[in-house]
Amino acid sequence: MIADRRACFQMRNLTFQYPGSRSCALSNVSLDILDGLTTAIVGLSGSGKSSLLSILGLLWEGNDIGANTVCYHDGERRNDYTTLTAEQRTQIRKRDFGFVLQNAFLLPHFTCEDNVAMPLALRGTPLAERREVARSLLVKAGLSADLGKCLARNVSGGERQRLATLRALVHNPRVVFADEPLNNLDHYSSCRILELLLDGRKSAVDCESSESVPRTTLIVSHSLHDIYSRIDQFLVLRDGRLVEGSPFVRDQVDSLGGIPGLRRLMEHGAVS
Amino acid sequence: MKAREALTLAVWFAACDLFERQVRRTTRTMIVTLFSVTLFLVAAFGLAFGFGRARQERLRASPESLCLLVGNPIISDEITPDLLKRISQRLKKSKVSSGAQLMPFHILDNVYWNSVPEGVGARRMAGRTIAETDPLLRTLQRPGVFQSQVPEDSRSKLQGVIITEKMQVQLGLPLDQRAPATLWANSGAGEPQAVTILGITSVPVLDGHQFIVPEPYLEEFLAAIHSRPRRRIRIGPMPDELCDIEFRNEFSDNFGDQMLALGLTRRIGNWKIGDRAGWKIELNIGKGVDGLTSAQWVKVIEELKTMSPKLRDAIPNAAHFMFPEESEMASYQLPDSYDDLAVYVDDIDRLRPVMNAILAADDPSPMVSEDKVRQAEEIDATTQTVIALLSIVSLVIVGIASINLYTILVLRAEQQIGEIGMLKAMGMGRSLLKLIYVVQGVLLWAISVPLGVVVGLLMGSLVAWGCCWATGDPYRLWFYLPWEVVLGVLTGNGLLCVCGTHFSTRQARESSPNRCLQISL
Repeated sequence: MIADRRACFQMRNLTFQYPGSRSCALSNVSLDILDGLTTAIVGLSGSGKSSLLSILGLLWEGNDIGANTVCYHDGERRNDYTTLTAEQRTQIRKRDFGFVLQNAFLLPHFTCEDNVAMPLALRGTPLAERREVARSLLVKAGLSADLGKCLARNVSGGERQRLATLRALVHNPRVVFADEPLNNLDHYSSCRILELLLDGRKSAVDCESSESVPRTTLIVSHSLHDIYSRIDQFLVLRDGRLVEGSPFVRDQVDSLGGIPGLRRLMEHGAVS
Repeated sequence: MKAREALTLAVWFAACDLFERQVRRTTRTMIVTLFSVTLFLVAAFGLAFGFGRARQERLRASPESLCLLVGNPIISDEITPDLLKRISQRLKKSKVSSGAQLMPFHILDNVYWNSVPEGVGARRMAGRTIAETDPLLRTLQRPGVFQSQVPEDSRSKLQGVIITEKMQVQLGLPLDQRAPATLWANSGAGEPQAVTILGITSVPVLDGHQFIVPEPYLEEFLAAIHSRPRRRIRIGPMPDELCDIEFRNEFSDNFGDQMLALGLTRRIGNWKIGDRAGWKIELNIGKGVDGLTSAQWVKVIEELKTMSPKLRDAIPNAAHFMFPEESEMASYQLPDSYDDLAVYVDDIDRLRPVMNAILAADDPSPMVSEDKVRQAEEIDATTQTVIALLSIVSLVIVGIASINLYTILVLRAEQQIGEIGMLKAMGMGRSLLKLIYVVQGVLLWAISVPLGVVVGLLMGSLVAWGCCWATGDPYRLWFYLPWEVVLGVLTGNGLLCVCGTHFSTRQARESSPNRCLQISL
């Protein structure tokens, strides 16, 4: 039951301004993102979706977001973003978060499997083991194992996007931040990647046989058709303001148009 | 992550990053820059230093240097430090031409000591290094001059001479002949007189206050001239203060009796000049004290130090005398008696003729040496000027290379800032990121700089050799690089690499992941 879930992220009255900018990227945003839910962040371009994602993903320094209240609950303790040290931020990102950004940012001089396995490398996993994990993930994503041996600079845009998604998942993170992960992908590839992305995570790290538990996933996307059925919560942003943010009961909504905030976006063609 | 894992990861990242195909060209540029700078520094400084050194050696090599030590153990308390200093200074003037110099050499029976020239008191051998054209050398071959200035009664005490190998050649002695040998010096009045060649040394005696003789060699020749090799050679300077010890009004009235009773003094007497009076002591270390061991010797010194504050100050550490450990004593027998370690010398007359001979010799070496000294000074000045100019040029080159290197590194860091941001988003800490770039700097250094040093050494040597070969002049140009310069080049370039990589990536390292990602877009 959704109501039983604990808030994974809490944000209260967050107002955020990019350094050097006069306008607010986010204005007075308050929200709760529940643990294990898949949340879609939608809105027109420039409405603050990526900013919200980057703030929640601890990609800004503490002083960049000012004294705003943003918290992440990692299952054991509550982490207040304004009080975390740089080292704690790094540790949380390494341990709990996975990122799929608009640009894949693969390391061009490493092979694809080394790129996918990079989070494991940062955790100190031995080379052979992490490559093995990466190879199995490549196969799951419908990519050939041979691709893993190629240098990342030599692969196509769609493959890069898939590799970036796999990289975000390889270390079994609690939370995945996906900023338009299905860009450049055909329908078939999108489905495979979504399967991987929205599948639950293993309850125990590095344990294949362990139970799968729901993963908290935040997806920014303009195309909701493929993912609609898996979304638990929509965050609709307009001009940096949150206009819709509560989890919804799927049975009570017939279609995307049934969600008030989305209806207007669909009318503007911002989402399809 | 453990330190080892972090280092492995850093090396992996750094190596992949340095040799990645798209940036390989810039890496090559950096390596070539560092290599060229290192090569230039090593070769240029080596040739500059070698230039000065070659010219100095040319000056030293002509005329041939010779060494002559004339032994005459004479005691005198009139040999003042000032007198010795004057002689020494005069002789030192001609050091460039290896002209005369005072070569103090103290003989205790078969135990050879060398000492500082300014000292007074210990028995000395007056000695000098002379040039080929030096009249003093001719005196050995010309009737009378040298020997006649040594009083008759001292001639029998002439110990002999120590000569250099070059002098051995010039005197026409067989090269395979080792000491002892006899040098015939004409006394002028009659038959030539034999002067024993105590030794032939391969050590060039160009300068200074020490005559360092290879101990094994001296042992060898002493063994050859004495049937009972019971001697010990001491090498190293004796401190000035030990050579000029006076114990006046230092001791109690019965001190002399005490010392005589101990058999530690040879002569103790009262002296009185006007209203001043005091003791005059000659320490008689060993004479009449058979089998005095080193421990006893040290004890004597320590006892004396307790009695005399002045002596205590003068001999801060009796261990200076470097007597062997007791365990070593078995390897050689102490002589039945030591010769004297005289604190006072009491007769200038027996040394004066030799001193006068040196002082009064019609020695052209000062005249020659002044020129030589001037030349040597000019060479030093020229070399220093060349080194200074070269240092300025090098600074400019290193500066340009640093800017070049830094610019390349900054551009690379800017190109990679998105990837750095992504790595930070994935949880790569600042310390690991810093380590990666430091390792990159070290790799750059390790590839380019040692290679530059080796090639620079080879190239410099080749140039010097080619110059000598082409001109037929062995003193035309040498290659000589002090190790300090090599160390400086290695360290300087190392700092350049590490600081360059460190500072060029500082912005990327210090920025938040999102800031890096934004910059890249």
